Amino acid sequence: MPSGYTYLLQFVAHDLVHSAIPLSVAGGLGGGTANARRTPLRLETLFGNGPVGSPHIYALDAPNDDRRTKLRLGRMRWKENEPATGCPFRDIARSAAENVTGIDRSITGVRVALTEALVADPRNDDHAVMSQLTALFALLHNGLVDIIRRQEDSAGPNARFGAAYKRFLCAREALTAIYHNILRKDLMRRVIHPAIYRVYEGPNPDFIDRSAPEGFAIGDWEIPFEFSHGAFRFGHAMVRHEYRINDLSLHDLNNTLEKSSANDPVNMPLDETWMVQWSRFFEINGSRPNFSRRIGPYLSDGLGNDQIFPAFDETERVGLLYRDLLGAGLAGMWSVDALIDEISNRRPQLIAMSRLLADRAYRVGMLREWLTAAPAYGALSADEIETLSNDPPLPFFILFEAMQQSQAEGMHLGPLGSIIVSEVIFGALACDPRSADGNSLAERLASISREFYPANVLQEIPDISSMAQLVEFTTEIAELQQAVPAFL
Amino acid sequence: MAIERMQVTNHERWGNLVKTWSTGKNYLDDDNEYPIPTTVDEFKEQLAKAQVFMTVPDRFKKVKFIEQEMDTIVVRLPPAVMIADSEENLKKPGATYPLPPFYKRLFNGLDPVIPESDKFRVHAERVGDYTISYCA
Repeated sequence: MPSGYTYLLQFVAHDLVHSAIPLSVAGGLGGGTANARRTPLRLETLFGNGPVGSPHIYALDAPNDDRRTKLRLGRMRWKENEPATGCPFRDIARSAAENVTGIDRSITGVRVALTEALVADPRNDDHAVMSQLTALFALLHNGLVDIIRRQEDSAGPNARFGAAYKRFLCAREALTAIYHNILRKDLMRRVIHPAIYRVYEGPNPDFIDRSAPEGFAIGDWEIPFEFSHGAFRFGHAMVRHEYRINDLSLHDLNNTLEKSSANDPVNMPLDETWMVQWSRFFEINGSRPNFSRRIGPYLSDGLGNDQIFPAFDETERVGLLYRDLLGAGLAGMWSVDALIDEISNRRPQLIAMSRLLADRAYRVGMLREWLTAAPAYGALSADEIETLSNDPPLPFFILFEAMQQSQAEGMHLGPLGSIIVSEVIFGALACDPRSADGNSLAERLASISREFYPANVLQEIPDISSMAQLVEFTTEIAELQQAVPAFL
Repeated sequence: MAIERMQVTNHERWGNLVKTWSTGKNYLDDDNEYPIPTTVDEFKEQLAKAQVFMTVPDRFKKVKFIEQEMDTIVVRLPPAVMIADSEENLKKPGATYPLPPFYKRLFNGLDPVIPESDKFRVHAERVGDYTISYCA
């Protein structure tokens, strides 16, 4: 799978779950670990609370600052020079800030530290590819604002704030519709087991984990730990040890993880070596992108970086994998056996399709065989192997299951991982009536436009149902066809 | 196809592991034992215990430790194919000599920029340095 999907999955995770402190670091469930997202997959991770609630992430539309509609972006840097006028806006916006504590990370007389990423969700600046993906969505939103504005009747009674806010909402809803279309038809099609995808892809899937047949009201939505701290951690296994970023640069994972305003503020904004050429992250016109690692119980060594993922408890264990497994232990999730039994009761046909799920003795044997044979450095004892085979941690089992898929080892999730992910992602999409109605994207966009304007101001938007199409359209409306380094 | 290199994630831990092997004193500040490994598996086992997170390509089947003596010149010759591979990589547009990340910390925090015209010079200097250096 092209590597761009690894980071689209991370973006989706940010759009589903946001807590003040990771469960693994907090050490137990409490106020700070509660999920603050109440409207899943509505791009809160990009738009925050909108121009009024989160003005710092929006650019000024007028000198008197009576309206904001476009997301802020920042100019890229060219080599060691300061970003000059003329350098394109291809990074997220970043700024310096004076601290009341007196701390200054700038290098006096050389470089000002841009410690503040002006984004709605600080995790969207976790690393260079993540911030570039955020900038891609921001470029598309800003282009949609331009498309709408060109067709507005600017002499209307609400020519300033009201008109601008309407334009913003229309563009945001359009981008959300495009995003949902991609999640449904591109991302999920790639990561979900084909048989499970067929069960959920339609307009009215028969959800297992849904008490009210009509779905959840906005605000009532909650995410199961089996998704957030179990199945959806699979994206970590897809991370590569290095990335060809563009024609000019290849960066290893350690460099990539370090590139954020928090970790490397004096080397911000991102320079030309970090400007993602999107045909290297998605298959576009026959391009050969960086491919993600196959899904399995192995992570790239760079995710053990002790600067990015330092030790936080008495075990002194560093790295992302320890955090994932500890978080899974603290969350108090259903065991693998219990999940399989419950799904088997409600949807026996979904479990019956997989011997690994349907036959416990076979499952335990397969786990035991792998744990015994695989180079498990750290020397698992016989007792530990027996315990893990009989009661595997859910995030580990999801990776193991993906690796066991016949003729598609690690190419997509197995049935259990696919059911958990589908219940949440397709369930969240079903919360949005516009996304769940089965209409085409063109029909949805027309419906969005009608909410705000008498004419269809979105009719020039093509049918975008893949990330490749999103990138191509963004290249066109942001006029980046001739960008250096290449955008497409 | 470029030759895959060993890649260290946590350089300080790796350095402390080397110091531990060299002196017999535990620099990792943990309760593990670190005798000099005799097989690649033992080597990887100790990397895991020390949390070095080093990527060791599958082509490595043996491990050899050389204990240098003060009165012996030890010239560690890199395989000719590795030099050829590095030179091939450096010829590519935009390619530069990769410096480990801790160099940045030592030089003001700025990303080190090796000018295009200097990259083969730096390559030669680094090869020479690491071939005879005691690194202690």
